[in-house]
Amino acid sequence: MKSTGQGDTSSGFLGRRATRRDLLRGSLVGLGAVSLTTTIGCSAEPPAAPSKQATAPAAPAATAKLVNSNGKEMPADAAVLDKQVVHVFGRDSKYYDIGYSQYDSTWPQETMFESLGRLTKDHVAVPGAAERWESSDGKVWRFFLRKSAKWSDGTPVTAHDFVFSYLRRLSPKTAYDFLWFYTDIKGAKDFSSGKIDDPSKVGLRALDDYTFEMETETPIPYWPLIVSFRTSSPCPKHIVEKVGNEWSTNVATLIGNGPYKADKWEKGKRLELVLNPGYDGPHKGYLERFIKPFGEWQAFFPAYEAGENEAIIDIAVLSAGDIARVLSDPKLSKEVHKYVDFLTWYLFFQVKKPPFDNIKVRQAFSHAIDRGALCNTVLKDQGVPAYSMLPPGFPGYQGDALKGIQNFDLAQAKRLLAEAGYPDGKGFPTVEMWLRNAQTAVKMAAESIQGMYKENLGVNIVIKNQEQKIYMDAMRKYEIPMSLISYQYDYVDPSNMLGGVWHSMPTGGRHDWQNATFDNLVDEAKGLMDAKKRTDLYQEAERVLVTDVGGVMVWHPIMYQMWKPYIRGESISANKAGVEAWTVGNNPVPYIYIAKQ
Amino acid sequence: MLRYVLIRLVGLAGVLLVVSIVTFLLMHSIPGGPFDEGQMPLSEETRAAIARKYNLDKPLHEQYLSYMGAALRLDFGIPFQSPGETVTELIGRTWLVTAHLGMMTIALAIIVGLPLGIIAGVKQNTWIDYLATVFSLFGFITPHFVIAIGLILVFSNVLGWLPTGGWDEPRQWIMPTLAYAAAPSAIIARFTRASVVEVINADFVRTARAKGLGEPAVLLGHVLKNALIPMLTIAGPLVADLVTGSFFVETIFRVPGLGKYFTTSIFGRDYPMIMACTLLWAALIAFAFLITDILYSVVDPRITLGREKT
Repeated sequence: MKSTGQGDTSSGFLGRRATRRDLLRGSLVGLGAVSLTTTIGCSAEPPAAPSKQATAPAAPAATAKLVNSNGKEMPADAAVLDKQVVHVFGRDSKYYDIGYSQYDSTWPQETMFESLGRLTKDHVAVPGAAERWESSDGKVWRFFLRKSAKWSDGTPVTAHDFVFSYLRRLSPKTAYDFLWFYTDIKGAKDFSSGKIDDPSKVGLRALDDYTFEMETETPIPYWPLIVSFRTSSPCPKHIVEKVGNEWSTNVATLIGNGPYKADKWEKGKRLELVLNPGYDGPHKGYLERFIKPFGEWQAFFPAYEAGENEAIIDIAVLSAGDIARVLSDPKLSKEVHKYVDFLTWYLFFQVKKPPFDNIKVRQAFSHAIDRGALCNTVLKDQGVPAYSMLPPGFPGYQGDALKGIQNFDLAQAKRLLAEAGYPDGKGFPTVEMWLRNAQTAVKMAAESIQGMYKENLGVNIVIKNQEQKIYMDAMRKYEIPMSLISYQYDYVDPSNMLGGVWHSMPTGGRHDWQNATFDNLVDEAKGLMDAKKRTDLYQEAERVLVTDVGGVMVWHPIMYQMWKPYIRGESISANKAGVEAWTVGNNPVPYIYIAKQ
Repeated sequence: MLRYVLIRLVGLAGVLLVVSIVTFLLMHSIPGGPFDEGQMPLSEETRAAIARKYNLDKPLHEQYLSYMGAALRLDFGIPFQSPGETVTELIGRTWLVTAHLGMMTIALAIIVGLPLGIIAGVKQNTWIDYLATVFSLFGFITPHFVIAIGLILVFSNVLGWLPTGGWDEPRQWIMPTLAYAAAPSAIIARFTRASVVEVINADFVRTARAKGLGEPAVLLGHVLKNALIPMLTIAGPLVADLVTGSFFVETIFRVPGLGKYFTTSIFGRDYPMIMACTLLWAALIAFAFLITDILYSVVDPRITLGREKT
C-alpha cells in the first residue's frame, strides 16, 4: 500500500469516514506542489487542461492556487474542495469487472480503471495506461506502459496484467458476453472456442514488464479505439488469481488502476468513489468524491429537480412529457444538453421468407414512411430522419447523398408493391412488427409507421412489443418477421455500424439479410490503412445496404442529458462537432469539477 | 389442535414441493437465460459457455434435483443479479428493509383504517360515512405509484420538506409508508365498516344497551370485539403481502428492499432468486392462512379446528 498524507487505507470499506475533511487537510499539505504530468501523445492531442485557459488574470498574486488531494491544480473558478462532490443516480452493478461481463458492469467502472488509452470527447484515443504506442503495419501493436503506474493497493501495473486481462476475456471459462469485440486478436476465435488452449498462440505478449504487444489477424487501423474503450480496462492479476472472479463484487478487493477508487459500496444504496491517491497518470481527477446513489430511472428526474443528484446522464430517462417541460422551462432549459446520438432506428425484415424475400416489397416499404412527418409529430424533438445507417457526424456519414434511395415517395412505393404482386396491398399477408421492450416514444413511432403502411400501401401490420430476452432469442434464430430496432455505436468507426451489424455470418449476422457485394466491400475496407480509400469502400458498402434494403433506416434519436450549470469541465464542453455530452465510454469524470456558485 | 397444526404443516411441505416444480418448469420454459444480449445476439459458443458457467447445461430434472438437494440444506445458491453474496444473504439484507417498511405500513393502515371504518359504521349513512367511503375508495383505486409520484411532487419538489427517496434516515421512511399504506388502509376501513354495521344491529348489542351500558363500553366490549373476526380473514394475506414488498414503491423511493427482486428476477432470468422468492412467498401465504385459522378458534370459541369438530 502506498502511503499518502491522508492516512488512507486500502480497506476503505470498514469504518472510513469524514473523508471530505481529510481531503481538505490533504490539499493543504499539497498546496503549491503542482506538477502537470506530460505524456508523449501518439495519436491526436490530449485533452486540453482547462485550468490553463480559465485562470483569472485579475487574481491577486497572494491567493494560493487550489490544489486537490491528489495534487491536481483546480481551475480558477472551482469551488472549495469540500464542494467537489457529484451525485449521479444510476443502477447498481453486478460487477465492476467489465472484462468479465460487459452488460453486468455499469459506470463509473471506467473511472476506477484505466485502459491502454482513453477516448476524448472527439472520439480520439489518447494515452492512458500506455504512455505511447506504435505499429508499423496495423497488425502488431506495441504499447509502452507508464512505469510508475500502480494498482490502488500499491502493486505495480505491468504488461503481465494486460496479457492476463485480455486472455481472461477470451477464455471459454469466462464466457465473456462482449467477446465479439476482441475476436480480431490473433488466435482469439480458436482460443475462445477451445480449439486451442495454448495461450502463447494468442497474439498477446509481454515483451518485458512494461511493454505489451498485441497482434491482430488482419491490420486494424482503428485498434487504438478498441483498446481505449472502457471494456478494455485491465484487471489486477494478483487479485483475480487470489480472490477469483467475484473480486469486483466487494469494495475490499475492488482494486483498480484508474484516477478514482471505490471507497464505499453499500449494496442497494450507493457506490462512493474517491480520488485514487496512487494514481499518477495523465487523467487525474478534480472531484474529490463521486457518488452514485442507486435507483431506477423513474427516480432520476424528480431527484434532480429536488437537487439530490446533479446530472442525468442515462439516456431515455426523460420522457417526451419531461422533455417538453424542460425545453419550455426558463431554468431547466439551460441545464439540458441535447445531441443526435450515434444511433440508428431501423426496420429489418426476415428476408429469407416471403413476402420480404422480394426486393421490391422491401423497397416499397422503404419509400412508404414519411420520416419528416414522423420526426415532426410523434418524435417531436426526439429524432431526425435517417436515410443511412451511419448517423450524422459519424466517420463516413453520407446521409445526404443516400437520401434519394429510401426517400418518402408514395407513387414509387405503390408501383413497387404492385410490381411485387400486391397492388394496393391486395393479397399481402398481415405481418407482425416486433418491438424490443419498447417504451412510449418508440411504441408511438411504431404505431405511426403501422398507420403509414396501412394508409399508403394498404398493408396490415400488427405490433408486438416483446420482452427483451424473448426478443433476442427470436432475433438470434432469425424468427422475427419484421421489426423496428436500434443500434448504437460501440466505437467510432464504420466497421462497427456497417460490418458489425450487417455483415452476414460468421462475422456479423445480426440479421439474415445477406449480400455478397456488401460483405466483400466491408471485408476489404476493414483492414485498409489508407483512410481515404477505406472511407470510399465503406460508403460504397452502405449504398449497397440501403439500395438492397437490408433495412429501412428511419430516424437517429436526439438524446437529452441534464447537468447543473455549476458542473463544468473540458470533457463535457462542446466538442468539434458542437456536441456537449456526458459520454460514459469516454470517461469524462476526471475532467469535471464544481464551479463557484 | 396440535395434531391439526402438524397436519397443516405437512400439507404446507407438499404445497411448497408443487410450487417449486411448477415454478422451476415455468421459468425454464421462457426463452432467454441469465446472460444479457444487448446489441448483438451472442454466438452459439458463448451461450454454451455461459450455460456451463451457471450449470445450466445439464438436463432439467438433474438441475431441479441438485437445486432441491441444496435447498434442503438451506443452500439456495448464488443470485445471478448479485454474485458477491448468497441468495440467503441477499434476502436477509433486503427483506429486513422490506419487512420494516411493511410493518410500518401495517401499523399506519390499522391506525387510519380501523377508526375510519368504525366511525363510518357507527355513523352509517351520514355525511361522515360518505366522506370515509370516498376517502377509502380513493385510497383503494389509486395505484400506489400514482400516490408515490404525487407525494414526491408535493413534498420534495414543491415544498422541499422530504428527500425523494433513499433509506438512510427516518425522514425517508415517511413517503414510502404513506404511499404503500393507502390501499390497505382503505381495505381495512371498508371491512371494518361492513362488520360494524352488521354487528351494531345485532340482538346482543341491543341487549347491552338495554342493560344500560354506556356507548363507549358497548362499542369496545361488544361491537368491536365481534366485528374484528372478519378482519382476521383479510389480515393474514394482507400482512404476508405487505412484508414481501412492492416493486413500485421500492423502485420509486429507492428503497433497497426485496420487493423489486420479485420482478427483476424474472426479467433477469435469475433462476435461484425466482425460486427463492416464489417459495418464500408461498410459505408466507400458507403460514398466514394457518395462523389465521388458529386465531379464529381463539377469538371465537364456536370455531373448532380439524377433527375436533365431529
